[in-house]
Amino acid sequence: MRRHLILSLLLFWIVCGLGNSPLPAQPPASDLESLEERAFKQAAALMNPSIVRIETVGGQDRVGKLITGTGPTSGVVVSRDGLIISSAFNFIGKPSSILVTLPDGRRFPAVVVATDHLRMLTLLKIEADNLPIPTAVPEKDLQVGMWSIALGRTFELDQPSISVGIVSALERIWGKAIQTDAKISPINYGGPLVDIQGRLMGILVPLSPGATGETAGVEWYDSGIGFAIPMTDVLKVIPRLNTGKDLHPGLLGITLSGKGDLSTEMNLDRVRYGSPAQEAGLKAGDTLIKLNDKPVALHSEVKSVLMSLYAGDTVSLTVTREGAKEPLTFKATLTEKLVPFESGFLGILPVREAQNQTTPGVGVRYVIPDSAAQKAGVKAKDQILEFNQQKVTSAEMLAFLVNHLRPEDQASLLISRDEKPVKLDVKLQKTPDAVPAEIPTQAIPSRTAQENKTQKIKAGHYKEKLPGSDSSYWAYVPENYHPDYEYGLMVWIHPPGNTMESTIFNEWKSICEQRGIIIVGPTAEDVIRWNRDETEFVEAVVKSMQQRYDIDPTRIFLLSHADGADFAFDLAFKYRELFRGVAVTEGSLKSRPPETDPDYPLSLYFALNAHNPLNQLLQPRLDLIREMNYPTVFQLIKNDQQPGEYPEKPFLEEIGRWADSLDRI
Amino acid sequence: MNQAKLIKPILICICLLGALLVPVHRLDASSRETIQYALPRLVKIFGAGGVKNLYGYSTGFLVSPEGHIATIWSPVLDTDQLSVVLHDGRRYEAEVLGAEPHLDLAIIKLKSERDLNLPYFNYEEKATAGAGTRILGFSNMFRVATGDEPVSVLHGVIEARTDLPRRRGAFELSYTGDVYVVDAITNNPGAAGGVIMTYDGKLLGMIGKQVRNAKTNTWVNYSLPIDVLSKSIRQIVTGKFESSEDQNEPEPSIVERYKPIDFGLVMVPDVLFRTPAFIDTVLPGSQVAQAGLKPDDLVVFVNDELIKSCKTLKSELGKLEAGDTVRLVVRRENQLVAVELQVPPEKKIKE
Repeated sequence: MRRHLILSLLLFWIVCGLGNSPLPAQPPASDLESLEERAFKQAAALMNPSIVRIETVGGQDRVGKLITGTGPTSGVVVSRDGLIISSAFNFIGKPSSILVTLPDGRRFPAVVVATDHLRMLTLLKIEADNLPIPTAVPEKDLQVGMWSIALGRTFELDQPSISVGIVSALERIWGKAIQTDAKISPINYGGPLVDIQGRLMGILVPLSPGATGETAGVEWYDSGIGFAIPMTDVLKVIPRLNTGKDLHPGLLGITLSGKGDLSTEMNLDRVRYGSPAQEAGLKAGDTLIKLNDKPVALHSEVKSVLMSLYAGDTVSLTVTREGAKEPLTFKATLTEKLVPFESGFLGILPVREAQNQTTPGVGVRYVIPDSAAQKAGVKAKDQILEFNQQKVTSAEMLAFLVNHLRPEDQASLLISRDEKPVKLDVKLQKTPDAVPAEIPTQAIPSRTAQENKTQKIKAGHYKEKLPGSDSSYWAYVPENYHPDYEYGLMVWIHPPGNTMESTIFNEWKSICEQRGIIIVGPTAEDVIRWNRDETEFVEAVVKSMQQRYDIDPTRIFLLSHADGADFAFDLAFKYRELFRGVAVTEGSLKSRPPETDPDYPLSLYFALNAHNPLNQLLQPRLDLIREMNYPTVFQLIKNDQQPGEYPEKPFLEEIGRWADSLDRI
Repeated sequence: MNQAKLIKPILICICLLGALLVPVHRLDASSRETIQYALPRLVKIFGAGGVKNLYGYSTGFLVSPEGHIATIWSPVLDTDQLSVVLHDGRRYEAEVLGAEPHLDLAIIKLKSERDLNLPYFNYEEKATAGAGTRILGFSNMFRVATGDEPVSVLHGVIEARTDLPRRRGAFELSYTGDVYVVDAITNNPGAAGGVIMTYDGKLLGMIGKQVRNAKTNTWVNYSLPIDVLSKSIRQIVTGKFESSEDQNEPEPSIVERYKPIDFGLVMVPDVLFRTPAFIDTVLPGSQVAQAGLKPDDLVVFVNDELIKSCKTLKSELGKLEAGDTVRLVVRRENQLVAVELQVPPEKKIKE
């Protein structure tokens, strides 16, 4: 009987499939689930004494578009004598006071020691001793798929809040972070991510691969995409932060040709002026092959190395250079800020030649008063033949040479005056922030409307649609348009709600005829507002005008009024290669512009009624954009007009002169 | 003989296997068994709404074999044509039996001539659970379950059982008690009125409405605990309901009896949204002067309540009663200094 029993148990074992299972015997599902649950709770309990609650007092209630939270946040003890690490996000409102509460209820005032703006961590210090430090997981033990438990101390003081997930990826956000699908949000930013044994994996922070702002990544809260800075990196950075100096992302100052992270074009497109890359000796056209002795063949590989380094860190770059037999290696020390580039300025307006004309060098149409050119003795009707011993054959080439030098740089000019060569030395200046009181117009031989008609050139005021587009645009081409000469192009961006077509046409017609400018006014599909997607439509309109008429690429500018400015600036910063100026009346600039680029100079013009409350907002913006070295004119309108009204003729004439001088060198 | 010998172990084996197939007691159940148990007990509710941010659907759970359903008190119920779809697609008209707006709770009942004998949840068990407990969330979220499809299931853990909403203004909620905050995204359109359960089959709570946590400006996933709801469910189901709304004293109007100046405190001008409560001047000879408070001290706690701004200081001091002892904690440089004061007698307000 006993034998039967043993036999039957054995059979039962086999029937259940457990005897020959390739996997080790597993406890039943319910056991496993409850064991795991117990493990989550134990892991949280193990870490519990090292998690602190952080509360802040005062500070901004809004940072950018984000309304800052006022709830408690979390931090982790990292030294026995009171160093606490937390997420920099918790302090973006710049609170006037920070208080830390330990799990045992003791409260301490805290001071910010320093912030790491690359990994978005903030180190705090409280005057406490004998605090419990958690155990960190060795980096080699981290694996995708392992349990990860996110803890915080927002809700209850005696018990951490718990969210459970797995490690979704390692070395995310250009090598900086562990990714987890545990729910990460302002509830636990600054708190720990622990493994199932209660060991510290990292510190929870919001991050985003595409953005670097202080609120980047917050939009992903609770979405299953959460990040933690690995503890090994946190521990490396604490001694640096503990010196009291903030850490910033390191900048090198190069751009690679080709677009997208998977691009394999490794040529240096640009080397920024005054950047660590330039100082190290790198040049545009070099091909990058190694970074920190590691071969690189993709843009993303370059990003992974550079975007995890701090200002002050050194990086070695190996490049191949045309003409050099061996690859060259350079060492660069990364910097916190790149010097904004400022183009040099000579101070002349070039003669606008007809297409079939071929005169040597560049003719001087006008010399701007008090400019470098005037001081050096350049006069109207001179022909500039050489700049710094280089022959110049076009205004475009002269502009390129001048724009790539900086104010205060010396240069030599060879000019022809009354058919005699004259050598002049010139010291370049800053581009002026004012428009000359007079700029002579250049007379263009006139054509009759009939002549244009026979050549099927559409002139005058007309309305059209682009093929395949629902949006329309209007245009005004001076009736005496002459196809042999280049014209300026004024792109009118109407404010939301009103195309202002007749106002613009009536006010600008004569100015544009005088100065050889074509007007084009794209209309938003819904006049109520411009949609950001419509930038492509405006670009297409400009391109089609360029195909139809002879347009000077250096004199294409955007004109806008009031709130239309937002869209005009969107366009200008998106299509840097297309637009050379933005003139805005009764409007402001809301976002920070990108860095200046000598290849695509952009001039700005603002006219604002003295009574317009926007003045308060605009003034600090003007300081900023001038600091960034954008040539910027600001005209304060003092008259009886109401704020917001379209300015009167004399003010528009100044904008006309400004537009007419966009091809200045 | 040999055959008989072989049959015996096989029989025993079959018996043992049979024992395995008998439903286990739910408290030892696995998540899979809990899901099988719960799904027939959840219903999809369709009613009013369907415009703007009002959803015309929600979730409910059966609390009696006769078709009593507990659900969220919401505009969905505000219709004469309330319909309920069971997990198997059976559709019934329903009526609202009663509601407890303070708990966001409503009980509806299926209209049926016949004895329904439906599976239901035992809400009287009043189970509770702490942070880290695994949960399953059941709801008609986003109305993805159509016809005879059972509701959706999510998994997660309890983040905390917390009294956070008790703080006035922290949540846009009428309910002011404990909630379970969970890390599963349970609070979706139409999910309110669903349930959360432990993996081993205990009913923990009813999924609440979608609300934002005003302190962190984030959406919060919470459920109303069943131990809080069970009494009202029973009362409405049995027809012996006394709404706590009637018993509740009217919300005390906030009389600000005291101002900082009554203690001898002159605060910095309150010019910002969150002006920190810095002391500008201390009136000579006042209580706070005697207690040693100084200009530039930052008031950070009043009776353990964090003082985030001049506004919160005013409201916390205003709540005090004459004769109370009030504990103020100020931050001076890098130290916290605590003082205790006696609240002065209330001044007669001159008409």
